Amino acid sequence: MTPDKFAPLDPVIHSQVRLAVLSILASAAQADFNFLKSAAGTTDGNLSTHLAKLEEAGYIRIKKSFQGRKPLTTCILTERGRSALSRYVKALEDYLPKEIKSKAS
Amino acid sequence: MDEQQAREDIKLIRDMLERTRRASAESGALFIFWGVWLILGLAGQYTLLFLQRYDWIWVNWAFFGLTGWIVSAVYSIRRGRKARMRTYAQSATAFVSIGCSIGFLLTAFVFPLLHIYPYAAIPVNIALISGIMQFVQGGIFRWPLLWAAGILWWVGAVVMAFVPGEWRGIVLIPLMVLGYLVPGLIFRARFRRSGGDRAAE
Repeated sequence: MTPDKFAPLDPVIHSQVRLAVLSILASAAQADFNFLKSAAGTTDGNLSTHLAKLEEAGYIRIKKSFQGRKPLTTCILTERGRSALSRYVKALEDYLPKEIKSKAS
Repeated sequence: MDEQQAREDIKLIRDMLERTRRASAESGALFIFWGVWLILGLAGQYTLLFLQRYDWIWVNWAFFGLTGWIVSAVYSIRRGRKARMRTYAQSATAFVSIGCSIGFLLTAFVFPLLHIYPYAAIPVNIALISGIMQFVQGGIFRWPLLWAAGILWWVGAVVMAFVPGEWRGIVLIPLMVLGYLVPGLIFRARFRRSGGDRAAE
């Protein structure tokens, strides 16, 4: 199979930062902005842009609240986001040789 | 997208999952605390038995129970506030712990005071609930040592049935050590080794 025949990758997830965010949220019930920023190794502004794209696509829900006087932004993966990530991982596997597909999954 | 990029994406997903796992590692602090605290409570109980101050035994347990729950609640709330993320396993563990704490309260204080069963039945019921708590937590953390600790608590409950009432507390001591202290210390060592505190930041 040539790369042209592979399942297309979801453009919303096909970015290092957005993939990192969704991967964290897949195993965490929720994560706050600073944790995501530090895990994805990005800046406030960049992460905000990526989170807005994910929220717009309905892949995450963003909850804004206060912890004492500090604003707190918490992100939660939606069912739609979980399915999209699962499809993305399956599509990625098509790019790997057969022998390492099983290891990757 | 080519094979190399696909590999990089899969590596990124794995790295993020590992980071979440490290950030949510169990610190073992409450396991160690309850192990030590309940052994001190048992020491208090047997001191009062030795001094023949039987009426004070419930005061001893009311003190250790109440202070223990307050410490656990304050620790958990503070840790929860500091935590930058929360996993499903942590939520499940919290619910199991709260549920079992209510079970301990009912079995150790409410039902005996209502004369539903004798005081000698308390250690047996405590061991049964502790067994359920640890067995379920073993399932959540996927850690066979906690499953084994859960089973050990149930074996201890059966052993207690053959031990005279006032000595049943003695059977609880090795159970506290093996069921709370040992897993707690192992959790603590793993937590420090994996840099759990730093990973949560």
